[in-house]
Amino acid sequence: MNSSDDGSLRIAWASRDVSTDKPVGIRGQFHLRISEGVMDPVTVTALAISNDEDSVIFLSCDIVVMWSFMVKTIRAKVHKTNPAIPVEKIIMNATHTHEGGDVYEAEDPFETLPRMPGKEYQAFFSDRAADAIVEAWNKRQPGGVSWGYGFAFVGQSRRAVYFDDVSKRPDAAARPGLMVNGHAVMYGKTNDPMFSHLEAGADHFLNVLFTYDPDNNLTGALVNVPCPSQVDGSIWKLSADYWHEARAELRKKFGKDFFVLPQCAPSGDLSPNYMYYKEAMKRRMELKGVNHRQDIAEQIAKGVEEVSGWASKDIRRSLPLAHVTRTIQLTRRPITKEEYENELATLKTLEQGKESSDPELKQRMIADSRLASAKKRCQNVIDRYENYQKNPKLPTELHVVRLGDIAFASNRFELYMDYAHRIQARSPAVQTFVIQLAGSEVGERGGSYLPTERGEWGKGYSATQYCNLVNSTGGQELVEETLGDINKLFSAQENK
Amino acid sequence: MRLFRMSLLFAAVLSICGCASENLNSRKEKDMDSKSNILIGWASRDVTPKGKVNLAGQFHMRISSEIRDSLSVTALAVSSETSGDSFIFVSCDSVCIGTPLIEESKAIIKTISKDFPLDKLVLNATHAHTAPDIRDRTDKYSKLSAEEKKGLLYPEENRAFLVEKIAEAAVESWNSRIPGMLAWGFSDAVVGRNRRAVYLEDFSKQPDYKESPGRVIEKNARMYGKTENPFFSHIEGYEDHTVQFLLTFNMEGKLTGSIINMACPSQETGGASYVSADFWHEVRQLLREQYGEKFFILPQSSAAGDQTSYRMLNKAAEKRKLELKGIDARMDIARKVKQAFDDAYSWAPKDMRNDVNLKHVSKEINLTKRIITEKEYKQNLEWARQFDAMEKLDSRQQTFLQRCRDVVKRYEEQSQGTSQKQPVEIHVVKLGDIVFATNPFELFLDYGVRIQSRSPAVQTFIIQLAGKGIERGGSYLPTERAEAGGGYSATPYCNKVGSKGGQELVEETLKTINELWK
Repeated sequence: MNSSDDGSLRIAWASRDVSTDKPVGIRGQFHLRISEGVMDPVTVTALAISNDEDSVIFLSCDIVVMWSFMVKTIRAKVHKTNPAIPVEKIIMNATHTHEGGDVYEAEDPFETLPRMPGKEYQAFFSDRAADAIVEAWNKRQPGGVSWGYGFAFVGQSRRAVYFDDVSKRPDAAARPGLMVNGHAVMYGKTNDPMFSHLEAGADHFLNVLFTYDPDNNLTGALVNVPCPSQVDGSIWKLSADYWHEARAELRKKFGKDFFVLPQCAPSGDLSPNYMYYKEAMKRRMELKGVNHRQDIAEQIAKGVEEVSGWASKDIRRSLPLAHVTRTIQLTRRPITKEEYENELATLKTLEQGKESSDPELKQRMIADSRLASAKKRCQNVIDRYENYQKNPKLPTELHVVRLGDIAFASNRFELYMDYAHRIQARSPAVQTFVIQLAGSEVGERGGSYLPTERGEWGKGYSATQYCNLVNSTGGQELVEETLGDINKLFSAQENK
Repeated sequence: MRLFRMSLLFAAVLSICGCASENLNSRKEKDMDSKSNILIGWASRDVTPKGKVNLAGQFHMRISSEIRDSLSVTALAVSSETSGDSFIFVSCDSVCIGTPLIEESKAIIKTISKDFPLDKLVLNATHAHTAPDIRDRTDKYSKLSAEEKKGLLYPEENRAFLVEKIAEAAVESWNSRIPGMLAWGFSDAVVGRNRRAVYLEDFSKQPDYKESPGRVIEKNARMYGKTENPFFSHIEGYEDHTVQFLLTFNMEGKLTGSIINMACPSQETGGASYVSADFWHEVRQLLREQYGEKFFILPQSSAAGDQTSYRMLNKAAEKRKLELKGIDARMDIARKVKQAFDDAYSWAPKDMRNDVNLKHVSKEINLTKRIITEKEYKQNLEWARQFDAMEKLDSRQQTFLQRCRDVVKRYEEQSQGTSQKQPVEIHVVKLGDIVFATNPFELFLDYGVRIQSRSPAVQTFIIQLAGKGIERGGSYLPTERAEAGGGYSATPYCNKVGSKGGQELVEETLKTINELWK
């Protein structure tokens, strides 16, 4: 067997800075923010891996969500630059930083602070993302990989569950167009006497894939963490959030040229925010002399370093690599007639709301963007009700990759953690890297929370009609479709 | 009063490293003029059995085949001269504590120390499943073969040995109190995992399901249930990977010992047939390698009835990790705890205290017992009848029969309106900005989170399997969601108190804590 058909791996990395000093829209909250500078660089990082049989190109982006139009745009630019690149093998994921540049397609129907138009930033972003992909692909050279499983204390369950239905409390405030609480509340108070528990667990694992050059020098790591990058989720500066400090810490340990490709594992119901023990954490940070982002970064770096210590004993240079990508159809969350009628009424009320008269443009923009957001969310629910009969399924792009004994599986959602556990528990792979918020060319918009049965029961932000294109039935369909492909790839290799 | 702050901390840390600078040493000497109103004493005893024993913690009998590592009891006595109050914590490498053990320990202490404040004594079990049986002897012992009985130490002998050593350690720690200093902090280690798998369908609707009379009643949850089951939905509850520490120092700023409190029982090798302290053995080993042979370690399990160190997910990944690292799971746990300790030790002593307000309250509270339903009563009546009809019962079946009978008896008592409440002892200790709160249960983690979330303390150390109230030591206390799912640890067999009583425990504990903060 010669080196060209023995599964020998070819690997390369590339990265680009996608920061801009110009003011640009920042998404991720109900209201629009405009950047007031760069706190730290937002980047895109590409990793291309291939052998003689197949390939995968990962692109991780410091953005909140990867919309379908951005996936199409980036793929088209890559194809135009180098038609030999298999663009369907590109898996693009968002780290879910809430401080990235504007990659939303929709126009804003309100006056904003002066800013770089969204389309201009999107063109800049997609140019650089395509450049990174092309460079990584073109620079591939023989290399090795190793993988391992470790720990870092990063994400916590962010959904508090109560003995009572909080929407029925006398002081419960209705949030029309934004959320509907029930027994569960995202970021709900845990010092409430009716607090029962945090809805789900907290998974503090790290899945890590290391790459090596022909001389066994470590070149980079793909780090899969079940936690979105949103410690500073509401600031008005561009930032990669905790991944900035994590990259810095990792580069301290592994060298300044070390590439880091962050992936967010399913964590729709997790965040780095503490739900209890806040004072204890505050004291810890003060005495340690670090901030929360730095604390997370140190934990990730420690975890990756620990894994590196033993994973490097098993470096592979030749491996089976198989990558399937296809469109699957998932059951949409049905909108009930009652919800539809409520939304019609809510929208009517919101339509009567006046634009802000605040003399400060910034404050007007905040108020008007919140109102626009609420109206849009109501309208989406109404549209989905009216279209459900002819459009009961959401098409979505699914990638499953086998690389030796490990697997990668992507989805477009802010997927609740339990789904990852269902996939990982039944997967034949020794490690299954599930990648959430990965772009899909098909299906409208991008992202969308996908809650579990218990999430739907409890309601609360992330588990309501506004937030969920797909329901728990569709969630389990995603699990089964993903496992079906993983199983096929592993049994196909075993039968070879 | 907060003393020393950074200067002494760095002096202390550096002196341990043997690299204290002259400058820091001179500052340290200056600080040594200060006094402390805190008295601290430590003591420990080896409680490894001198012969073969039945190891407690499983349904079946396990006669120990060897001693893998030693068992110990560790006592820490702390008094505040300012507030005139004290606590004496004694941690035992044992599966449980139980009321008789506490009473007997106190009786011995009373004979050897007149001034020992017995009401300030708190015993807790690490929940090691590889320590001697100390509960009253059951019929199972009579069924052992002559060979098995030869040289066997029986539970009453084990308990007598243990209480003597507990008393010695407690009294020595009390008598050896000298001025010292305290610091507290926490870090993280992924040790405890939620062990209850929940399924999309009830087991009764899944293929090949068989009931387990006397062992468990399941709906759609199972302890250690297979997560690769296509019906698997999720892991039931939260996991708390916080590891809390109370560090003690002598007046020279040298670290002398630590309480280590985390939400995980020590039962990584809980099915083995050797005597062992489980992962606490390796934790002690690693910490003493760095901090000295005389470094005291007092382990406490926080609320962790639904937790263990067993892996429910990613088992192949963890197995490969251990193989490549060349260590076993216990050592892996120990390294994580050591790393957490090192992290906390790097910052917590910056806020070292030489005077704290210490208030210790213990009380008996009455908790609503778990209700036995009529269906459960009839089911267990029938199962008991079926066991009685069997010709010969093995040790497990004898246990199951007894559990069925207990449920029947409880229902009858409940019907007569007697024994509706379970009296249990709780201790609450305020120590500066932190608090310790005990309970005698294998308490599901959510209760710990409820208490910690509402507690005014900056850190709340929950200590499960501690104090009097449960005759034979321990009893799972499940949450509402666990009761709904059933399964081992959330059935009438395992629960003297149900979720209603669990919330009563939360409220009583918080009420007591809040009173201390007034």
